[in-house]
Amino acid sequence: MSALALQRVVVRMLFDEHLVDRVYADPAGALPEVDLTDAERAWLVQPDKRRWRADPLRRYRALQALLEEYPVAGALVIREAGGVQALDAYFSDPAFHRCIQDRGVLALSFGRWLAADFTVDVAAAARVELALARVRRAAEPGALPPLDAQGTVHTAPWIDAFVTTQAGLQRYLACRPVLAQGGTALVLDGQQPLPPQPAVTGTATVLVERSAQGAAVEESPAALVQLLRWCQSPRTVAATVEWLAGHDLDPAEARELLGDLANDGLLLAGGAPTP
Amino acid sequence: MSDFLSRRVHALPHLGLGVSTEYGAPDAPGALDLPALRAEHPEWAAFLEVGVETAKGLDRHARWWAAQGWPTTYHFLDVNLDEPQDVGEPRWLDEVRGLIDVLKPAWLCGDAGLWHFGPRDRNHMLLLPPILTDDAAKAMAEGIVTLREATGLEVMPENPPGQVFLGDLHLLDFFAKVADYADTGLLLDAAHLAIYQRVCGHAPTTGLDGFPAERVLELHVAGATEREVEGLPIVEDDHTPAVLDDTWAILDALGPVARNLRAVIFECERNPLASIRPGLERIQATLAHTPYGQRGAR
Repeated sequence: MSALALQRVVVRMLFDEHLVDRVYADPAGALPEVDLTDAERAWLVQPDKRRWRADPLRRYRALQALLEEYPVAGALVIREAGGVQALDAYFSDPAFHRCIQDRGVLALSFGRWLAADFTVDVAAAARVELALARVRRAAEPGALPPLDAQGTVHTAPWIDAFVTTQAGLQRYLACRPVLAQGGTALVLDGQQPLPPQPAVTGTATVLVERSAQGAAVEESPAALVQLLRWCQSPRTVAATVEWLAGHDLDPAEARELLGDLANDGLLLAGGAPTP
Repeated sequence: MSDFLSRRVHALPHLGLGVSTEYGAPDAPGALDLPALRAEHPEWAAFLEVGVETAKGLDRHARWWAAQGWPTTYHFLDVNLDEPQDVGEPRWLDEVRGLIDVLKPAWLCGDAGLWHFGPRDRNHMLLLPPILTDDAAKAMAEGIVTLREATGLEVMPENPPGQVFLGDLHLLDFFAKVADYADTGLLLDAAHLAIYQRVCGHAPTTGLDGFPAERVLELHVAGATEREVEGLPIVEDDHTPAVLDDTWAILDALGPVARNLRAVIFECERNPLASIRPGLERIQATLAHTPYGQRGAR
């Protein structure tokens, strides 16, 4: 195996003492997902075990940095879904280990984990904050290519569109300004109450867009959100026009709509697909 | 025959003794006052080593220093030299070139280790030593050549600190291989080496006899703190003025044989001048009668 893959195991062990325990207890059997030689397994258990714990604040610092991007979801977990320990558990979760071993982006992995493993309100807040984390990391938009009828379209990387609960979205929007004033200290302070869940029902269709002014979260028409979700994988213009026909738009209107969305930077136009 | 040793090294300037900085460090309470140091003891601030994360850029202190036209070196804090997609990332390289235009450094240098896991991202930063194997040395060397060609400047890899070192090579043998494969000079951090030797249970100068000291262009000296983790003594590389005896022993051993040494840094950016004076005086005295000291006297 490459030194890079072994290095990633080192990172995982520095963050997760449970993994250290497993590797020291069973060097041959631990880490079945990584292709290690016998020599490399032996190297992993050569250091005094306490050296892996030389930086006891490593997880806390990493969590603090992640909470800067997930203030609302994090604050909700701390107050209503298990406390700081529940968040700290991420660093021993398979999601964390996959992220490190596969060279993933920690903030996106953390957001997906939050959205999947906690309450409905946490999931809604995490989905919004995951979208913000995604669009924040998107490459700067260059010149926008015009729509080519023979080409493809896909949702721009600085756009995220999704469906969540109306109650979850409204609670996120109510909590965000409160937490923004107090910073990470307030997020971590489980004694400080947050706005309660509003008495609304139904679903919300949400668009998160990064622009020169920053990232904005807004409710958008369901049809637009559906289209942007359809185009999250590159689609041919022809297939997208056909998909829109199923949503009561005739071909001329569909092509005009796609052209407008490409001009507005919501969709990115590409050339003809490779056969 | 090494092109670096026979030709390129002679084009590099003798910088002398300097200090280091990184973004925001001079604004910390009790931090070293760079303008005062330069005014009162120019021989201790002959150049400034600027630690750079391109995402942060340069603070006003580094920009001020560069605007005076005084010498600098560029110490990267954000590149994994052994990952081709990292060292070759076009946007990062553009940012590095832009900062080089401002600093006009004599060369690039920096810890040749893992500066971040995953892609370059603000949540991914850390610093770990490389895996000490021949394959890893080759990958590191390729990254050094890539960066050297992309910037037009020499790139001096530095031995990083750490608590866990894996691999079948001694750290000094690993960096000897890196230097050979990349045909480059080296930055040897004596404090980091002292930590490595203790972690491995070696004497401070173990391995220096077979080390290509003529490749060492730059030396770092820094203080460290000894503490315990669950009863295990460890050394923390925290840049205090208190330099370990092990680190001085390494400087004593390397000074006379590092015939191409051109720059020495006392890493002490968060300490006031009065507290670092003894360290700077001792470095000066230790190196006065070495090839480095004699070149400086000329």
